[in-house]
Amino acid sequence: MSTLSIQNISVTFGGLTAVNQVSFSLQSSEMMAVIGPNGAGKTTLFNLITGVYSPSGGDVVLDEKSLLHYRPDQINRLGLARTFQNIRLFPQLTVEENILVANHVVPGLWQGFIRPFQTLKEETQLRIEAAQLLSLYGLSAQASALAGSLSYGEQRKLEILRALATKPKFLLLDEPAAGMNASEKNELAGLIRKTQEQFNLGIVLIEHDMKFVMNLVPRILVLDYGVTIAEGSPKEISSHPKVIEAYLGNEETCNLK
Amino acid sequence: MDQFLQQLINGISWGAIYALIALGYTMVYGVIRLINFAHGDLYMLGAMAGYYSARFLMDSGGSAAFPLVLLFSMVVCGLIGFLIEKLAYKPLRAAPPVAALITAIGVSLFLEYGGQLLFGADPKFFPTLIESIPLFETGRFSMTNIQAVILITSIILMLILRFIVLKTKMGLAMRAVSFSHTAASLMGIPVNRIISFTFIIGSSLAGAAGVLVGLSNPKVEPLMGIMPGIKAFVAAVLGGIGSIPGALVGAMILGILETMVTAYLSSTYRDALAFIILILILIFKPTGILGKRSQEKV
Amino acid sequence: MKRLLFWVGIILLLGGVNQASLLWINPYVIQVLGLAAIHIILAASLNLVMGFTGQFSLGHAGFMAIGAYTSAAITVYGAPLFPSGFLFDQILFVIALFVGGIVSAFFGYLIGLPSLRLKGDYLAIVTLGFGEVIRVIILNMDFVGGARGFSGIPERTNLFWILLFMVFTLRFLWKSIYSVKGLSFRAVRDDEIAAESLGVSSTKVKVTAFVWGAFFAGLGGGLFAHLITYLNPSSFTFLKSVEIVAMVVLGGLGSFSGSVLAAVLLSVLPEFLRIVSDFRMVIYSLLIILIMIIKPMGLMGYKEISFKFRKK
Repeated sequence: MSTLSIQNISVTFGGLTAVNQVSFSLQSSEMMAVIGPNGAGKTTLFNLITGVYSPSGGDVVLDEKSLLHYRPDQINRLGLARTFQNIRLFPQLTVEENILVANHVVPGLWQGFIRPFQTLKEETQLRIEAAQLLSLYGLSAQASALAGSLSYGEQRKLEILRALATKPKFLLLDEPAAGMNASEKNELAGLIRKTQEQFNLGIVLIEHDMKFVMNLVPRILVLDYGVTIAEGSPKEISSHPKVIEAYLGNEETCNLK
Repeated sequence: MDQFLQQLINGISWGAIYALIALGYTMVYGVIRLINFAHGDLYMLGAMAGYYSARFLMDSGGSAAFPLVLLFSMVVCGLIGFLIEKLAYKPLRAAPPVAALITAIGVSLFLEYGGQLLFGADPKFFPTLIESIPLFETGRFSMTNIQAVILITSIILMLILRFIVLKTKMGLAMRAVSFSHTAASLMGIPVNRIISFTFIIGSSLAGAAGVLVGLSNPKVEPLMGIMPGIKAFVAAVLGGIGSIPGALVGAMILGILETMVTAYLSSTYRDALAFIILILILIFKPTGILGKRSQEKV
Repeated sequence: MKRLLFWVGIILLLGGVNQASLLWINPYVIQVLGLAAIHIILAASLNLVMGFTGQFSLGHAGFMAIGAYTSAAITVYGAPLFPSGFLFDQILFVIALFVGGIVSAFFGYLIGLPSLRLKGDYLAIVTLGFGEVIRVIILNMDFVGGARGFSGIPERTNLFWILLFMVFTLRFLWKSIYSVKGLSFRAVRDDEIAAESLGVSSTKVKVTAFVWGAFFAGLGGGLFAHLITYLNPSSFTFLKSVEIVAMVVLGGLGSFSGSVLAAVLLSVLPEFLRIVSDFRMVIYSLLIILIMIIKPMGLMGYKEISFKFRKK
């Protein structure tokens, strides 16, 4: 069992405090969601956790180890994987290759050329694992298509699979359901739940659509202007006065009912 | 000390010429994000246009007035710059940047070898437009009127440029286009016309630099643009490419450094040292001296 | 075993090609073909850096120069220390080539380091500067001739060696880039931030690309030195780098077959254009402009001419 703990993390960009003293902690068998209006600092929070930005204060701790001075690739190898709000697949690589990228870290040109027996065995193993992942989300048929040619929903799924392929302890999903229609969202919610159970990992997801989150996660953190304004179960959150105030006038208010 | 001041003056006058070329690089880069490799050759064409117009004026009996020759060169180069953009770069507006870069290299080779065909490969001697007289002399330290003319002309041209960019509607449109073509065109700015205008201005500045160099260093030939072209590009990057004051600062630093290295070390190391300094500066300040750092949105 | 057979086959075949060429093809044509094959090595190795890793380099001629001068210095100054005779000459030559490649790879490592902080045009200018610095340093090194040029290099390169190293380079780059291990290069090219989020160290990827790119450019330089038997710093100016970049872009970034095509085209074309003498370079430059306007993604785009060993 691992623990990811965010302690009073903050960052300022030229005078604007995008994330202000945010804290939460998560076990590697738990799911939670971070919600909040546009510009609340949700994606920035992910960028701070995964080392894309460095925080101006606070700490990110994974199993008693501070992640502050690690590079994004090292943080991934320590057990944190993520997806991106604006899908970032490798469009020129095939679907299978996108997943295979995640499976190795050292660029060994020699091994590629000589292909010693061990490398070959490894490669076969990786391809089998990749195929298993693809079948999990029903993408097997597209394995050799270019990632750029997939439909929007499929690209979102592939991005999650690619992150899973790094065998993380924690998975950070940045608006995985964005741009999907209602039935796609339902299907995705099912897949995320199934993934969580099967791999027994901690999942944090950022979401805009409250309804999507309500039925999926037991715990929600609400950000507004970079500050935590509420934290609790979906039920507590939906009746929290500050949350209603922050969302007032947004379409999400209607979704609360 | 005298020698140092002397080299400083020489360096500033070289820097002024680099600056005029570097400004074109940086302006073009600003609006279409292209390193216009052919820009150095426009400077060569400027010198050639100056040479032929001065010869023509002298042969037809009159005296070749420097402002007239300068103006003629600037117009010719502006026109050629306009044509290059329309014919070679515009079709590649949507292509990957490196395709446009290779095209620019192609244009550069075309101008160099076309120049050799048209003007002959041998160097020509720029007619004396202004008799060189020392303005003042103290010991080993002097400044000639030619250096003064170079400096004053460049300052005037740069002030005009500054006025255009900061105070006119055209300049405002240029700045808008440099931020985003889409946004600018949505605001009703004729993006293509602004790009053409930028090429005309940038190229005519290079043309002016060609004439100015002809005053002080009268040997002109078709390949003369290669090295100053690269150096001016280095200056633009040094200052922070896309930034007009940056180009000026970078050019001055480069011009002064080069003359100093030539004077105090050896001329063979001149080119290398300029680059070593450049590499060091970029390693510590990756976007140049006055360049803005852009953070990628994740 | 299959691989061993492949190389034995290649060696026999190239040996045969070499003998046949000596009999039937005139030396001028052999030299043009040799240069074309060397350009293939240079273009393919630069494509690893530019096309497959996405790092802009304008200093490839610098790496070529390092390989050329290092290997030439070894064969010239090493010959007296080494037993003579056909076989020993060849061994010394191959050692010299590899040492040239390795020294060049070391400089590739040095120039790869700034690439971690610099992007696009800034990286281009630093690599350009590096190439020029190398050239000026060689210009001031007297024991390799300085500005006079380095003459008296033994003629060791023939079609056999050039083609053998060309096959080696292409096969090495192809097999490694299109293997699972090589995916990280294309991943960094397509999206550095995404690649890092998957645990790929973009630092290592970029430096590796520069190191191998420089190694093969050094090999190419060594072959060049022992083909022409005379080196001059002015052969390795920034224009040479630009020529190699033009081959890569013209052929298509991220396509080795494209680099091969373009390298042959740009090496052989000027020879054919000799009939129009004065107009040669003008036509050459116009053709570059035209090809880019008609095919902005290069002749091959990101595609390869498929061979059977490219797994789909």
